[in-house]
Amino acid sequence: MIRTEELLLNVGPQHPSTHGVFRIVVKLDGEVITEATPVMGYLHRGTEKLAESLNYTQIIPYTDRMDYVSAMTNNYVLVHAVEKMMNIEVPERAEFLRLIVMELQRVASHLVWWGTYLLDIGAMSPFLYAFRDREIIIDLFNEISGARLTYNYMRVGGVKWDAPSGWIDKVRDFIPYMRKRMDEYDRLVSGNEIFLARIKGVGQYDADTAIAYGLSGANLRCTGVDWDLRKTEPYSLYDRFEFDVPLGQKGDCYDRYLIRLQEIHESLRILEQAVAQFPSGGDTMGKVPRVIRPPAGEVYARIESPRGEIGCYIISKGKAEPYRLKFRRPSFVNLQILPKLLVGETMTNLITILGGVDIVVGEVDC
Amino acid sequence: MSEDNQPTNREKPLLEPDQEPKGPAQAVEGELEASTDNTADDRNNVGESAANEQMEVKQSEMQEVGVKPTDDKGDAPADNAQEKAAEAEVQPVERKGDAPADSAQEKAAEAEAQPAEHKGEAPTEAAADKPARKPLTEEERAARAKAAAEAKAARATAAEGGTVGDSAAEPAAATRPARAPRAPKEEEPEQPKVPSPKQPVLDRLVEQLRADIAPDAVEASIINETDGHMPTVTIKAEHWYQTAQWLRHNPEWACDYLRNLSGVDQESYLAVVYHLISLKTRMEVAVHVKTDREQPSIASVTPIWPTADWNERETYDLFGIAFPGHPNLRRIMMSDDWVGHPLRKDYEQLDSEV
Amino acid sequence: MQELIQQSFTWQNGLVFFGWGVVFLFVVLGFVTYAIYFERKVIGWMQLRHGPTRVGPLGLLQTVADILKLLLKEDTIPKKADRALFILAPVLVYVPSFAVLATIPYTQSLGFADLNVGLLYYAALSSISTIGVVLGGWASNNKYSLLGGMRSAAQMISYEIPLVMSVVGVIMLNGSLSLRTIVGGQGNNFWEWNFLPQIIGFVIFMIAAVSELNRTPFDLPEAESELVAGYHVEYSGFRFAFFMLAEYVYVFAISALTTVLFLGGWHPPLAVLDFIPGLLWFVLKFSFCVFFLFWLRATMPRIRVDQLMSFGWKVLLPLAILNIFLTAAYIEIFNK
Repeated sequence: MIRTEELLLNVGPQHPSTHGVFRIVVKLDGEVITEATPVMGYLHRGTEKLAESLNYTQIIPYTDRMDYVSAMTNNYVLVHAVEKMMNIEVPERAEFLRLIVMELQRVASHLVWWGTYLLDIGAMSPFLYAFRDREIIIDLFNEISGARLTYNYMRVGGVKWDAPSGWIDKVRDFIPYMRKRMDEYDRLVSGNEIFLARIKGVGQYDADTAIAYGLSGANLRCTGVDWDLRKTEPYSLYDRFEFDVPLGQKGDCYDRYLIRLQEIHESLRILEQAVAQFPSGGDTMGKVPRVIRPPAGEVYARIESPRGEIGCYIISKGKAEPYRLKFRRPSFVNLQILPKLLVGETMTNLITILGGVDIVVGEVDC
Repeated sequence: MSEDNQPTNREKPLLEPDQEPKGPAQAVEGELEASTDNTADDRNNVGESAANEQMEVKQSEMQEVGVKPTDDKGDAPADNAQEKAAEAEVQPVERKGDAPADSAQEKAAEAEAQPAEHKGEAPTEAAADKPARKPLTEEERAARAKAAAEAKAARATAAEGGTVGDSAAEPAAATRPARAPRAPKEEEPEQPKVPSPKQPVLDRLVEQLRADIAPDAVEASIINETDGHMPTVTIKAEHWYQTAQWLRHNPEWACDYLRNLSGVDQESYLAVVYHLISLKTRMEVAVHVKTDREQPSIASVTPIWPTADWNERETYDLFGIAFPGHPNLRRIMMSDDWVGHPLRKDYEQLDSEV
Repeated sequence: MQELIQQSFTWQNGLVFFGWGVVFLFVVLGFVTYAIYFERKVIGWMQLRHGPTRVGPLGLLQTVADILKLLLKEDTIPKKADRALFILAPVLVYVPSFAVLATIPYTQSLGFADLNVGLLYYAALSSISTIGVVLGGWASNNKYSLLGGMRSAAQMISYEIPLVMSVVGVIMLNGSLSLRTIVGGQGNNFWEWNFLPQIIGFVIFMIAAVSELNRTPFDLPEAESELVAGYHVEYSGFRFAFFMLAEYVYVFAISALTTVLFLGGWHPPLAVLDFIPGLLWFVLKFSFCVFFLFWLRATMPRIRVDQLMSFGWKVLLPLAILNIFLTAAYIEIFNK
């Protein structure tokens, strides 16, 4: 009598492809997954609790470390929430700087995703090409904020440092360079038969499932739902620029892949327009009181980070520290669909699907 | 003020922040009605003060919501003439904030106009030393009313895409000269009592909920002005599941997207705040559900919105609120054998000396 | 050398054989060392980076340092692993890899054993390595390595068949399994080599060869990003070095075999160039095959296991059979 057993396999927390310290307990029947349970919390650092004893400017560095691949948008969501509460006006130059760094950050984040996704799928070289291009963006950020990964750049009311002379020109030069690179990447990867066979039709879900699970970002738009907060709930200066929102149709990994690549193109478009309209002078900081003390009240500010809708819910009791600060993290919410998607898939597709969701574990655990 | 944790590098006296229109140091509900007007002048959000008055009225009707009206005007700040003068340059900040125009040019123009205007104001204010608020001259009031009206129109159009009620109110506000101050408050900038454009929506929702669910289902309802006039309701915990289903399936509200679910520890009770939106009709609402501290329990909405699954687990983990009906309520962030709920205000850390 | 092999076995001859064997062993080991080095360099250049540059001049001693490290490491055997099989597995993998090198003719006169079933000998021995891989996966007592071992068994067996069948056409054209005869049947111009008349067979052979080598795009058994290291995850130190050694010796063997079967062995590509010694041509073609394997590794993503199986059985195998049929028809019609 042959007796088969289900195999209980632990993917992570140390694993090359789980994008951080993250664990999935998987029950396998041969190569097919029958059940998958994500376990998280390995990177839980208690940001929300810490925030209750820090004033708002002190919380900004903590936001950098939540989604460390996309730190500028994290900075922005916090300062935007506080500015909403206090109705602070941000000068135009500062807002332009913010928008430019956020869009550059979107390109950088999508490049990281692209490189690591292809590395998971098995191609080693695109990873290095993506990081080479990301280096240019990181150097730009280094010039403007002094740091490569956790910038601590935005402040309530504006930005901390002005762009050094020549910085805008470097951004301007970066755009055609990146466009050329995107062409090369397309030719290298997007038509590759093996790659297409690996990705097409994998991890498919429909729009109703996506909305019910609260997905956002490319994970939602791959099903055809037109929901991009930069367009539907415009913040910053996004309503001044023309850009499209790429949508998918089938809701599989391939659509998510194409959408994110197209989003890089759209970000480059926005950057082009922003650099062209960049004001030549102006303050980098609005008039903000020395102690930032929002009036009692609450606000839920949300913006579109490269991963989806990142939200900052602040309850203030009029003090310099928030009473309750909650971050609605897109990776955390987007990950909930993983157990549902994985049933019936093989181990290989687990990696493909997990990479397609585009999570950063620092954000999953906050 | 004493209970604030001021940053240690402050060199200004502690009283200074009181002058700032952002709101007093102590945030106390219920003091609103007495002290709203005090900071009205310095309100960065001039247009809001009208709505705030309205909120105060509402607040007198409603119980403790746990949601502060956006500007908690708090206690009477003690003005000192010196400090007033000293922060004359700080005030232009708030003036600028007073009229958040949504176009840069307007902002720039106002920026020039207002500091001049208000710098002229400060000495007069400093001179007219008073316990509560400074009197405004007539033309300042009119100017401020106009600026406020513009600001309100601009904000309203930006937030709501322009509603009829708002624009109708605006001309009335603009043409109205300085009002006499209202009875319990100090003189108010002549903000017309412009109801929020979302007020009718909120009222309708409350009516419908009272009719369809239970007469006492809705404990409180306000419009959260700061947050883009988001209708905010407080629902009684025992009616929450029904209300959630109603919100999900009602053809007008059709809230299919649960954006955010967060636990809150208000010291006397725990609460969960839900932010819902309908992707089709773009109706959004924020719901507060309160529960007590000893046995906190709120019906789980995971069957309605599967996205609530891990959010509720996180809330359970960090606050201890049980969610009956949840398929798999166990800890998510902390390790499984953790004792205590870290985000509660009375949580004792294991290593509190650190 | 041919005469040497034909002579009877005396002590003196035996020593000479042994000496040649040692020389050849050094050649192979030197190849392995510098193949690893060049793989890292070439892939590095393709990825816009330098590759090893520090250890020794231009990084040439990098592999030496790596192998030294591996040999000096602690020999860990997991507690619950099946000890005997754990130790046996690497041996079973690398011994056949050396053994198959014997039949390959390097030049007209340089070759070790001219078996008249040379090709069959090659195919048979290389299958033994599959057993070693499966044993390694099982004996490690680790779920990841078990998965890797199972995948590897499935993959290697599935691709053996197209591999061997793709060369049947060559065998039919030459009427012999002996590798020397096959090379002799190819001419002094590149259009007389076997890869053009047997183009289908050549393509199938290349694909199946990459799969047999467990290299990208078919490196599922050691898919780093999924199974961490597949069947050799529990091996460390010199046992791991054996697996790596076996892989690179197989690279040598497959490239040499490709050169011999399809690329004309020691023949020059154009008849006018035959003043250049055959060994050099052999080395050049062989190097090109090795470079092609490295190039594939840098470029391609990995194929999924079910897609791999379906590709092997549903695409390669029918094509190989078609190739045989076409070759047979050609021989029959043109009475070669």
